[in-house]
Amino acid sequence: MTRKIFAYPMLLLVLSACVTINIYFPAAAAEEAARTIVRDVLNTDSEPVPASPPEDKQSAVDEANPALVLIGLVLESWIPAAHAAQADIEINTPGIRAIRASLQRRQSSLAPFYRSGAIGFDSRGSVSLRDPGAVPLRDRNRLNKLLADENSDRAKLYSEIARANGHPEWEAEVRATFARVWIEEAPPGYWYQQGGSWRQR
Amino acid sequence: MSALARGLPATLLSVLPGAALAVDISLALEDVVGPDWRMAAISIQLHSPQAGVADLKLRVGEAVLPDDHGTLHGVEFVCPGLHQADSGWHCKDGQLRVSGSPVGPQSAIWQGGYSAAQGWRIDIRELDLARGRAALSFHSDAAGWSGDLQVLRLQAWPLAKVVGTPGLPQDWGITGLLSGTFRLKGDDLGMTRLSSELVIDRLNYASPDGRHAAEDVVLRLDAAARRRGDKWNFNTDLRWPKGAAYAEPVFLQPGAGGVTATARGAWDGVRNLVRFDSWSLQQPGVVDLSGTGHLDTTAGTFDDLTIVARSDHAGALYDTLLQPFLIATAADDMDVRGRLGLVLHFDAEGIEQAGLDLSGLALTDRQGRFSLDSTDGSIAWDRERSVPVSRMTAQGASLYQIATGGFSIEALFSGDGVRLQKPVEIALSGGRFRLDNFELSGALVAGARPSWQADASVHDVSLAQLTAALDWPPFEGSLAGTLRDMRYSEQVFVVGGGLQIEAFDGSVVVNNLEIREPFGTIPVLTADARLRGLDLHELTRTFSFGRIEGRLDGEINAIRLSAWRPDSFDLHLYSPEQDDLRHRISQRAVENLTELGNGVSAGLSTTVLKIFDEFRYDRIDLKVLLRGDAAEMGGIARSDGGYYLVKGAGLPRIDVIGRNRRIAWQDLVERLRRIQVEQARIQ
Repeated sequence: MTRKIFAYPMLLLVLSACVTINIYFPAAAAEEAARTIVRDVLNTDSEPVPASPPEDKQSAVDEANPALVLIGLVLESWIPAAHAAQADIEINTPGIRAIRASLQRRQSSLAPFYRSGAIGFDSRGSVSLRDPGAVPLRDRNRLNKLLADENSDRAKLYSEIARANGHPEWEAEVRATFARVWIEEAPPGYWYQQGGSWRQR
Repeated sequence: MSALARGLPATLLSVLPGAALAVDISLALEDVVGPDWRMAAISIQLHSPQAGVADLKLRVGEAVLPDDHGTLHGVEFVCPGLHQADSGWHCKDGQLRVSGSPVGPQSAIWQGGYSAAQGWRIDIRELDLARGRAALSFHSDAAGWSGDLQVLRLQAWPLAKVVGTPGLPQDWGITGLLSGTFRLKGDDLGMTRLSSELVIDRLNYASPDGRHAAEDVVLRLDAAARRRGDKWNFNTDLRWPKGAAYAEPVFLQPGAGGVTATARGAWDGVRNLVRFDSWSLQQPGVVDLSGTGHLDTTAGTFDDLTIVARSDHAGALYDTLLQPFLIATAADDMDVRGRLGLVLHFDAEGIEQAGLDLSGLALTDRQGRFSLDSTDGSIAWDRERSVPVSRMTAQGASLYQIATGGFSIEALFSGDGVRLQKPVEIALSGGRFRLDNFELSGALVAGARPSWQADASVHDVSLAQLTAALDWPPFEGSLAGTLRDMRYSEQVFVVGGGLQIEAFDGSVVVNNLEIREPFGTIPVLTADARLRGLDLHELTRTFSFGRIEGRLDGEINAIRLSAWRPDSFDLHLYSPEQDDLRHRISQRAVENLTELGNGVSAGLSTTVLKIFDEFRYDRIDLKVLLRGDAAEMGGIARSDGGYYLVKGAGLPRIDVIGRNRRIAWQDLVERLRRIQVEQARIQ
């Protein structure tokens, strides 16, 4: 009885201690996610966009053993917590997929301008005009539209990733992560901005 | 030319006739100063060894030219064989030397002469000017003076420095060659006529920021101007046959017909006003612009400006001149066909009146988001005054994949807004869409933020046609409903009054409906929906799902669609507590619900239950919580961890129990699709 009297406060203490969780920006996971997307968009990696996450393996036709169900429920209730602890970054929402597809479609149009040095990856995770003289006059207006669309999509990508992971306030950090990864993954010949000046990969 | 410059040498020469002995005259002037010019260290030497022959040497040490055109140094005007004939003096082989000038040292030959009857005449040939050649011919008599300047292949930038063009940017790398003729006439009061025929060849420039550039442009300019009192009447024709130019955001390249521009009018130098009696800008196959207007050259503003634009090729006009200004809007990627005419009138405050005529104008968004079929009509707008009602008739339109029939619009365009004058009815998916009222504000005045508000209703719309058009699971039946207080501002579309749909003998109310960037890359829709009393028999009869009888209530809260794909929602569908319909479920519906809930068929057809076509049920309950790609399913909770999707009643009793709780959304959609496909095959 005495043990029970002490056990309940201890349990409460344990439970209340679990409530306070500080969620920091998962830099490593974000970088991995950014690299996946950037390689996919730039077509520097043949890994395709995953259509959907693997399905829950719990079978529908299994005879429901009450004990197994109970264990399953307990496990299930812990799975989200485990995910949080691993700090995965969600990049497979319909919105993010749509933006990735839009970015991918545009790359073949942008690639000649990247290669000619007309545009490059800037330090804000966007694409900037680097050498307008390298753009034939008749293509300048088309490039203006490509840049406007590309940077609009990129801005949406960063905010959507932050939002999809339940932390809209992470947008700036997502953008900073992508800014670094775009540059690191830039194919040879592409230009990028570093420390205010342009360099070529 | 000043009277001094013309009169002094004449006076000197006048002393020579009749002199039998050698004469030497030397004259030196320290300084001669005009309003904005100055000559210093002037010396004139005249040596006449015998009657009728003389040597002339005029030297100006420094000459500051008017209008800041620079300074000449060491100007020598020499004639070694000045001779007398025809009551005057003439020089055949004169020499002109300038040791320093804004266009470099000069050395040219000249010929000319002076007689009391014919006045002065000077021809200077082979002047070096702006790295090209120039020839100047000057004549002056009692009636006045005239001058012709012929230039050949003068280079643009050195010339610009000579002429003095302070607005011309120095870092644009301007190159080009100027050839042609200037003709000037004047009297003692100044210039009275000016005409020119010029060709600018191989004009190239590029601003460092890339916003302005030209490549191999050829321009031909014919201009004539005549002074009338304080005003100059002018007449200019500019032709642009070759080359290409970019002035952000417009790229222009004259086609086969070239670009031509004309202007006729008068310049009032006292009031600094230019009156354009007519002007035009034509690019065959693109646009024909013309008009009148006044330009205040001090302020750089137009007043009373009329622009008449006409294009029989609205597509070329859109591609060339309109699309560049629409980049980053929903209208920046369209195919445009048809003809249009536009009249604009500007006053000092901006556009005062506008009129637009459309003839067979059709727009198609290249991304398939919207289209407008052949449209005819006219629109009249006035900033302040009342205008007649504008009318337009379109053969059809589409929004995403939903096509509509033709429709007519009557609206009033005035002030900063547009107001519908009578409801618009549009055939839509077998029924009709009715726009009861529509008000647009802020779209017609520069600087204002456009927004619109509208109420609409739909009647007898065929769900079969609608769902097929949207590529959604097929439904049959019809729907009617109202859309109250629709608003659009800052790229956000809101239905403030909610969407009420009457369908399947029940109602669906959609609240908090909001679409952000409906025409953007990623439109985001958020809403809450409430379903009440849907007749499941009607619903399932048409849904290829298997028959279910009874009513269905439900809520779908926190719906979020990204790019029209479900991103998240909390769905709960259930049998109402009080149901006036009997509860029956067919064997096929049981099979399909089981498969939906568990991913596998119930296999009833292999059991003794196959003899029953239908079963009674107590309640249906389905919960789906979608978060990204994962859906969490549920129903009426069971103690064993499963959940009832269908809780049976009576005998034989059949329950549909779900075991899967977490499922990939894509898999759930796939199951739905499989059910429909299989059913379709059976039919």
